[in-house]
Amino acid sequence: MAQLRTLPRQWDELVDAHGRPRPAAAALVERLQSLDIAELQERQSLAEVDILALGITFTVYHDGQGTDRAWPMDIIPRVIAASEWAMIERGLKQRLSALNRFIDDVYHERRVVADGVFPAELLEGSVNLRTECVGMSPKFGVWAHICGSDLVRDANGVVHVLEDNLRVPSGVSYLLQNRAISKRAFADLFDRQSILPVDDYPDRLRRLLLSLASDELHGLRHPQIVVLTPGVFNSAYFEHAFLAQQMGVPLVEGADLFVDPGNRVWMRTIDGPKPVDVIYRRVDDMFLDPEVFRPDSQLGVPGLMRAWHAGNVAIANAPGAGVADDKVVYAWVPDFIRYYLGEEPLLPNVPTYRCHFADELAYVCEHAHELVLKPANESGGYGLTIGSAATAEQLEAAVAAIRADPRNWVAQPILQISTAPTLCAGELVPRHVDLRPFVLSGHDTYVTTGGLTRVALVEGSLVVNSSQGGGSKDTWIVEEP
Amino acid sequence: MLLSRVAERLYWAARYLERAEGTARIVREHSNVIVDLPLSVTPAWDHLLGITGNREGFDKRYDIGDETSIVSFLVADSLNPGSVRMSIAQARENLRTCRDILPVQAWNAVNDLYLTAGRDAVDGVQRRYRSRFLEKVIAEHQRLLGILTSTMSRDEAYTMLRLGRHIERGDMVTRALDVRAGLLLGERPEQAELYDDLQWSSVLRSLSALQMYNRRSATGDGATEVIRFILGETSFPRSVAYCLAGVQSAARELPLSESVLAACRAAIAELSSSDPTALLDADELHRKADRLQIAIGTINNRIVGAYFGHTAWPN
Repeated sequence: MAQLRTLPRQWDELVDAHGRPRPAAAALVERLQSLDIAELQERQSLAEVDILALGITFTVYHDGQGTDRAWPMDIIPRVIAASEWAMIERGLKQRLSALNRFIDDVYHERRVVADGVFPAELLEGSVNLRTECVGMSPKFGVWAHICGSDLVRDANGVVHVLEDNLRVPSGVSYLLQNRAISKRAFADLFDRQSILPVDDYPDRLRRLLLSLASDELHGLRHPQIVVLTPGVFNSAYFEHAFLAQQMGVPLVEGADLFVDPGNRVWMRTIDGPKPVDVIYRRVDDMFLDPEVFRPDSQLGVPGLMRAWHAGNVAIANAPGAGVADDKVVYAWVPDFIRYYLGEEPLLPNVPTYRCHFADELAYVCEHAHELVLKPANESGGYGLTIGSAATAEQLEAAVAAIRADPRNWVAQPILQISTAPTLCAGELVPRHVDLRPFVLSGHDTYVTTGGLTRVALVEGSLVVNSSQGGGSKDTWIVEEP
Repeated sequence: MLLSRVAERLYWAARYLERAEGTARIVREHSNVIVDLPLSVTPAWDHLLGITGNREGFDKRYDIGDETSIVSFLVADSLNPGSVRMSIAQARENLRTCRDILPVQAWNAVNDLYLTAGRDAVDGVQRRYRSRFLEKVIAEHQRLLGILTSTMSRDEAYTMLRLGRHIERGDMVTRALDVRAGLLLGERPEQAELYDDLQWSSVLRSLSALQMYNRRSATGDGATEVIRFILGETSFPRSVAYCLAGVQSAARELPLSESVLAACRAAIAELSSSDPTALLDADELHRKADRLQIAIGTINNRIVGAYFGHTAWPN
C-alpha cells in the first residue's frame, strides 16, 4: 500500500500536516492508498509508453546539439479545490487586465510614470521596451493576448504569483497532453468525481485569434490565422506544431511569409500567395522583422512591422508586450492593479527586493545567502542564484553582477514552496511543485482550468524547469462534493 | 491550402522513402539470385550501381567493386545520400517539420523505420542478416503507406506524397529495366527471344514483378512480353505506365498543374511510342530508357517550378 509522506513545516497539495487528505483530494488519496507501489509503477510505465507513442517531446540543448526527449510526467495528479481555483482565476484576470493597461499606457501617454507610480528610468532601461511600438493601439487595448503566469504556494498555503510570462510562454500543449495521459492512468477516478475538463483551450485560442483580425475583413473573407514558429530546432517546436494542428491552421516559418509593397502579409502556397490576417507568433520580438529588429534574423519576416503598423495583420502577442515581462516590472504589478483598476490585488506577489533602490540593494547584498537572486530578463530558470544553495564564490559573483547593474536584478526570500506526492524510484515522495496557468485576453479574458504543474524531481530542489530536469503533473480542479 | 515549403518536404520525403524501399527490393532480389548461380559464375554486383544511379559516388569512395563494398554503399553508407539508411534519415528530416500535417501514427511509423535503419543497417550488409533487414525496411515502409492510406485525408498534402512516390518509382523501374534487361540482351542478342526462365525471371523478380507477371491476363511470352509488362502494364503498380498514370492523376488534383500535366502527357506518349519488339535490341532499349528518364526528369522539374519556387517570390 502506498504511503504519503510530507515534509515538516511545508505545505503539501494532497494531504495536511496530520497526513489527512485535503477534502478535494480525498478520492485520489483514497485510491492511491488502495494501490500498492508496484501497481502505481506499472501505471507510470504505461504512461511513459503512451508518451513515447504519442511523440510528446521537448528539445534540450546541450553543446549546441538539440535532442528530442520524451516529456517527463509523473502520473500522480495535483489537486486544487474548484472553490479555491475560482478565486485564483479572478486574481489572474485582474492581473492581466492591469498588465495590459500598463503596456498600453507605456506605449501611449505613460500616465503611470507621470503620476509617479513607476520610475521613468526603469522604463528607459528596459531591454524589452520597443520604441517602434509607441503609439500603436492593438484591438481591445490588449497587447499580451497569451500569458503564462507562474504560481507557487508557500508554507502557509498562500498562493503567490512568481512571474508573468508575456512574451512567448510555452507549456500549454503539455497541460493538455498530461490530461490525456492521466485519464488513462486513473480512468476510474474520472467517473467518481467532478474533475473539470481542460480541452477547450485550442478552441478558445482559435476564437481569440479570429477576434483579433481587422474589422475591415468582416464579410469579406474568413480571417486566415497562422502559427509562426522559429522552426524545428526550437525547444517548443512540438507545442507549435500541436497548437497549429489542434486549431487547424498552418504552421509557418518566416520564409513561408512575405510582405508586399502594400504592406500586406502573404503566405507562399502551392496555389500562389494567400493573404494572412492573424499571426500567433512564437518568435521573440528581436527576430520578428529584420528590417526593424535584428538584421541577421532568418526567423522573421522582412516588413512584418510595417504590415502591423498599417493594421493589415494582427500579431499575438503584440510586439513590445514583453515590456511587462521583466522581473523588475513584476515588483510593481500590485501597484498597477491599484493604480489602473482601483482594486486590491487578489493574488499577492512574492515579496521582492528591487536592487534599483539603494536601501533594497544594500539589504540584498547583505542577505544574499538567504535570498533568490534573479536577473530581470532571463527565463527558464537560467541565471538565477539560490543563496542558500550557492557556494561562497557563486554568491560573490552574483553580488558583483548585481552591483554592476542593479536595475536589472531583483531578489526574493527563498520560499518553502509546496510539495505534492511524486513517484520517484519506487516510492511516493514529496517534491516541490509550481503551477503555470494560461490566460487568454481579448474582448474578454479566459483562464485555463488549472494549469501545467511542474515538479522538481530531485529531492529538495526548487527548480521545476523541464530544461533543467523538472517534470510535470496533471492538475485536477475538483468540485468538492 | 498547402504551404510550398511543406509541399516540397512532403514530396521529397515520399521520394526518399520510395527510393529506400526500391533499393532494398533490388538488393534483396539480387542477393537471392546470386545464391542460385552455379559456383563457376562470378556474381556481378556492380550493375546495381547503375540501377540506383550513383556509380560516380561509389567510385570516389571505394577501390574495389565487390559484394561487400557495393551492398555496404547501397544499404548502410552514411556518406551516400542514396543509401537505404540515408534515404530514410532524409525522409524523416523532411517530415519532422510536417508533423502538424501527418497523422500521429504515420510520424511514429517514420520514426520506427528511422530507428530500425540506424540500428540494423550496418549489420544488414552481411549476407546472413541482409534479407531480414531489407524485409524489415520494406515492411515498415509498407506499414507507413497503410497508415497514410487509411487515416490521412485526401488533401493536397496527401497528393504531394503520391506525386513523390510515383515519380521516384517510375524513375527507378525505368533504370532497373534498362540495366538488367540491357545486360541480358547485350550478352546474348541472338538468343534474346529464346525465353531464358531463370534470367528473365530474375529481371522480373528484381522489380518485384514476377508473381504478378505470371498471373497476368495477357498471353504474350518471352522477353518482349517482359519488357512490355514492366513498361506498359497499366494494372501493375510497379510498372512505368502505372507510375506515370499515378503522377498524372495526382497532378490533376493540384492547382496550377497545367505545365506538370503537359509533361505527363509527353512522358506517357513516349512510353507508348515504340513497338516492344524493337526494344529487344539493347541499344534501342537503352535509348528508350534514356528518353523516359528525361521525360520523368522534366515532370520533376515542372513540379519544382510550379509548387516549390517559394524563394523566387515575390517578383
